[in-house]
Amino acid sequence: MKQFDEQELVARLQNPSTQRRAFEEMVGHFGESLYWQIRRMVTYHDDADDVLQNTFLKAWNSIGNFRGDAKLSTWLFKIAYNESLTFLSKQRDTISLDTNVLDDDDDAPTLANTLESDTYFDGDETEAMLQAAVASLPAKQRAVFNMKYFQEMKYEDMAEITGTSVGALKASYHIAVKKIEEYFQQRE
Amino acid sequence: MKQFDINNQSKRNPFTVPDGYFENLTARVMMNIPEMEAEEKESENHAKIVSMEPRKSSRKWMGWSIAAAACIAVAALFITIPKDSNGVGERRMAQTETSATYDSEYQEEMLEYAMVDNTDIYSYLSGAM
Repeated sequence: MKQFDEQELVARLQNPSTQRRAFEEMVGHFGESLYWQIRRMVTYHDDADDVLQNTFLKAWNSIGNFRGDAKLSTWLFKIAYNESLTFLSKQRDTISLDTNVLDDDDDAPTLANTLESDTYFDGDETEAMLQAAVASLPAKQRAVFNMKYFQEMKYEDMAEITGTSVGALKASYHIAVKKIEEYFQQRE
Repeated sequence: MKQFDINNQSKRNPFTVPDGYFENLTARVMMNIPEMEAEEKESENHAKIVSMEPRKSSRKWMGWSIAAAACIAVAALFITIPKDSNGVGERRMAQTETSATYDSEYQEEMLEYAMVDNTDIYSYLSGAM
């Protein structure tokens, strides 16, 4: 398999005659990792697929603005992060509150139970609870927790994607961990 | 349920995707991506069409120019009318006594000075511009 050369790919992305083919290669290279970043944010496969499609469409429409100052992956993760936040914000406005585990403790197992019966989730009870706990966090805090805990990203990279300072990200992660531990303590 | 410890919790990814999802992902994404280059090339191939009609903005500009010129003409008319030192009342009297020929001569002179003819004024007033 051909080795991935980001610099060469960026040069082809900026050339109108090679742009589309280069974009296709970029989708092939980053598609899966972007999907998982989005999926951890929006939980369900169909939603993750929609957000991923929008992410690439946005990337294509703004490809002329990409000057190669940042890494291609950072640029794409940033678009995916913003698209996920937009999706969650719209979802919060439209979905009834009974799926919001924070608002009512009686509803807390709902998301975990839904996940356990979801075709595209094969985790155990604790893993389902952990996902429910993560989903109960405010959207930005959820993103910070996912990036640090599951994706094990560096704070510096997270700062570029989220446009937040390293200090603020550390504080946000610390709060997110506390909330998740409390979530489990309340249910033990 | 066993006690939860975030530091010892498995970070295994519990989510799955439909069979063949990632294999077909690139093709599905590319189907939604519009043909940006093709559209640009197509528009380049079309000859640029230049309208023979004056542009709306220039028509608007002409209308305002004529209106401004008419205002200047009217203002100039009042300024250049010889003032009677005996006051406003007597000046009005003098104006009414002035012959029609005098007025029209003055107007024509002013309109000529403002480079506006009657046709322009009529067409502007009738809203044709």
